[in-house]
Amino acid sequence: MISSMRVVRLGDNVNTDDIIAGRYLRAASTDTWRDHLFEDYDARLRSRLSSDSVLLAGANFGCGSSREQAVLGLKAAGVRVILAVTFGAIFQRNCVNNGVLAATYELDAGPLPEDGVPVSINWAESTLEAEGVPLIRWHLPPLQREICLAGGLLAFYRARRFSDGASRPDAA
Amino acid sequence: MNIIDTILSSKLGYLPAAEDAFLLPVDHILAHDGSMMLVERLFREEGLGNILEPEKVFVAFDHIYPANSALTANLHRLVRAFLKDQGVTRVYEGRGISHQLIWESNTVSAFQIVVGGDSHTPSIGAAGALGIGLGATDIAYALLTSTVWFTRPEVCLVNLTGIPPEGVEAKDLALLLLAEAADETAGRVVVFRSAEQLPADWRFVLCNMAPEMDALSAVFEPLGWCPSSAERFEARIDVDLRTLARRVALPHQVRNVALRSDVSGGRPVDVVFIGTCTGGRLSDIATLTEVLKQSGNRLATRLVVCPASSSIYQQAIEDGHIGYLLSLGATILPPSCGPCLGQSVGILGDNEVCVSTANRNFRGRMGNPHAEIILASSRVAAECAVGGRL
Repeated sequence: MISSMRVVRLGDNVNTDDIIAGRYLRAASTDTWRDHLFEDYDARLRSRLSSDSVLLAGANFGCGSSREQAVLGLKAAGVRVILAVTFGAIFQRNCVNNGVLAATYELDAGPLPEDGVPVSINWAESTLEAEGVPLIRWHLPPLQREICLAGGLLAFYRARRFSDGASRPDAA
Repeated sequence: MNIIDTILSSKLGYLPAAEDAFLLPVDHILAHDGSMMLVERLFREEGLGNILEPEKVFVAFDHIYPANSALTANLHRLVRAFLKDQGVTRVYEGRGISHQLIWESNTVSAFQIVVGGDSHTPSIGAAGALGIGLGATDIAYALLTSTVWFTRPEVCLVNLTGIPPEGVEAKDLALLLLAEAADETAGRVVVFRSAEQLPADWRFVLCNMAPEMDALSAVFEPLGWCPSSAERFEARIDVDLRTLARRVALPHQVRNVALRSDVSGGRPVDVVFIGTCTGGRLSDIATLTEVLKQSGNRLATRLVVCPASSSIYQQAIEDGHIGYLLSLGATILPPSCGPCLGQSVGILGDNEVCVSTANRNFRGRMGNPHAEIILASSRVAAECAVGGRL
C-alpha cells in the first residue's frame, strides 16, 4: 500500500517529447531531465509533481520516442505511479524496468478522481483507493508486476529471477 | 501460424500462449549515440560487466553527429571508449541513420529478431525481421543476456491489393493507417501483406511508422512466405491501393491527418526538409529533383536535404541530384537524423512552418515549441518547396 498520494490528471496522447524535450536529452546528470519535465507541454505542471503524485492519464500516454530520460526525469521528481488508459509500449516498459508502476485501467469504470484528490495505491487488490474505497482497478501483467516490485529490471536481473538459460522466466 | 508466431516459436522452440511472458533470444542489438549514452552510463554506474555477444551489436552515431557541443562530444567519447573496450566492431560514425545502415548491411535476414534502442527499430520489418524498439535498460539487459522480456503479442493483418496511383507514396498509406486504423493497430504487431510486389522503400516506410500507428512493431511478409490456413489475427484491415490519395499530417499530432487536396494552397511554408529514416532515401531525393525540374527549377522556400546514409549520398551525387540541388541553393546536411529531432542543426524559428518527410510532428520536435511541422511524402514536400505554400 502506498498511501497519502494526490492525483495529477493528464490528457490523451501525451508523448515523450512532451515529457522531456529533445534539447535536454544530452545531459551529464539526471537533474536536467527532472528540472525540465513537461516544459513545452504545460510549464505549470512540473511544480505539481512530487513523491506524492499519482499521474492519472488518458489514452496513449508516453507515446513516441523511446527516450528513457522521460522516465528517469519523472522518477527523479519522485513519481512512482502512473495509471493510463493505454501507454506507448516502450514508455511503459521503461517505467516497469525502472521500478515505476505503469498500469492500465478501464475508462468506463466510473468517474475518475479529480486533480488533487487524496488517494492510495493498493497493490494486493490492484486498485486506486480514496478513503479505503476503490476508485479504479488497474492492470499490470504478472511478469511486469514482479519486475516493478523488484525495483526494476536490473535489480530483477541481479536477483536472478529469470532461470539461467531457460526461455521461460520463473515468474510466480 | 502467422509470421509473428512463426518467428517466436522458431526462437523459443515452442509456441507461447496468448499474453505468455518469456525471454526472447535476439539476433541483433541496435543502438545509436543517443540511446548508447544511457546504456554506457548504466554499465558504468551499475558495474554491469561484459556484453555477452559483441558481434550482435550494431551502433550508429546518428542522432547528433557530428557533435554540436563539448557536452555531446564528451558523451560520444564515453560511448566510443565503451564500445571499443567491450569489443564491439560494428560501429559506424558519420555513415548515416542506424535503421538505414543495418538494412543496407544485408546482415539481417527474414525471421530474425532485432532489438533496438530507438522507437523506429521496426523499420527492419522491411526485411521480414521482427524489430522491437526499446529503452536503454532493456538494451543493457539485451547486451548482458542476448535476450529481452517479451509477451506474445496480438497481430493485425494489413492486406494490400492493387497498384497505387502515380505520385502517391508509402507515406500516404502510413498516414491513412495511423489516422483511421489506430484502433486496430494499437498495441499489436502489424503484418503487411501485399498481392503486388511493393518497392523496398515502401516496405521500409510502412514498417518504420509502426510506432506512429501505436503498434508494437510491423513486419512485411517476405517474398515466398506462404500463409497457412490456420492463421491467427486479432484484427484485419484491407486497403485497395488504387484508391490511395495524398495526405499530410498537420501540427501537432501525427494523426492530425488531412487529405492533401483539402488543404492545398493554404498556409505559407518557410522550410522543406527531406531526410530521416522515413524520407531520406534515394527515391525521396530523386522525387525532389524531378518535381523541381518539372516546375522550372523554382524554389520558393528554404530547402534542407539530409541523406539517410553515405551510400545514398554517394549515389545522389553520382546521379546528379546533389549538384542540381546545390545549384538551386539547397542545404545538404551530412548523413544523420539531422533536424528531425531538434537537437543540433536546422532548428525552426518562432511561427515558422516546416513541411518534413519525417515521422513525427510533435510540438517542439524540431527544437522550438512555437514552430509548426507538417508531415508529408517527398513528392508533396517537393511541391511545397516549389509553390511556397502547403
